[in-house]
Amino acid sequence: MVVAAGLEDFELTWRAEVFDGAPQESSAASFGTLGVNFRAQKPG
Amino acid sequence: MTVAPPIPDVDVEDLRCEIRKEYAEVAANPDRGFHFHTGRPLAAILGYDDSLLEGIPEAAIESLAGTGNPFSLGEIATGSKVVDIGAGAGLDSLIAGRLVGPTGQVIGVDMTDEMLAKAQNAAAEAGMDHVEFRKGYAELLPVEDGWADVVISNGVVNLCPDKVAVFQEMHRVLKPGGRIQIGDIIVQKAVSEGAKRNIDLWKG
Repeated sequence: MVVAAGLEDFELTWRAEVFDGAPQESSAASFGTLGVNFRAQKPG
Repeated sequence: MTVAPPIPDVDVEDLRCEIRKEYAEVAANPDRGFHFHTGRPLAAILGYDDSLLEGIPEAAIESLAGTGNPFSLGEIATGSKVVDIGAGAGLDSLIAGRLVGPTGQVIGVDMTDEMLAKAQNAAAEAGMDHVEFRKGYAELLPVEDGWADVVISNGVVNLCPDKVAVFQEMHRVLKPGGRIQIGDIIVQKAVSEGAKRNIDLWKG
């Protein structure tokens, strides 16, 4: 999706279980949901 | 050739309405207890250095509901122009405002009135005239073409059915060579078409 939009050099740098221990039960765990950080660049 | 995934068959306006309700509550009652962490405990989980939060009004910090840390992805230089998509109560916009300084500019965009009001008040309390908040959608940003050096977003793209449109808007508002620095979520198991139509699952 990022590349389809014309961005390049996509890089995912971090992932973690950010919903673990949240006050309310979430559907996140059932889908193996992880928080992530990523970056990309517009061609110059 | 890169093929974009199909847009999920969900009513966009119904989804936006439900998301606005949820995040209006995050603005008004951030300690109520949600299916996600909020505030300072969440900032610690996401690896926000304490120095990033120094001097930021508590109202902006308490309603943090992101899923990543855009500031871990690259330096935001003094004088830069930054767009924050789904700015919420303004924490990331205000952090960006501190990093770019008064010679830079930050535009935070959000669709939830209660979050916008909270963010605007927080910016005023912080004395950051160079940080402004505009009402709008990630798929149709109220920002001119080629304005931004950096686009940040935190926990927002996953709430938008047409993700390619969101990334196309990021591309549009960026200067050539500009960067996106995004916190969001991924799923590791397939999501059925039925689940994609379930608005409750979009919210968590």
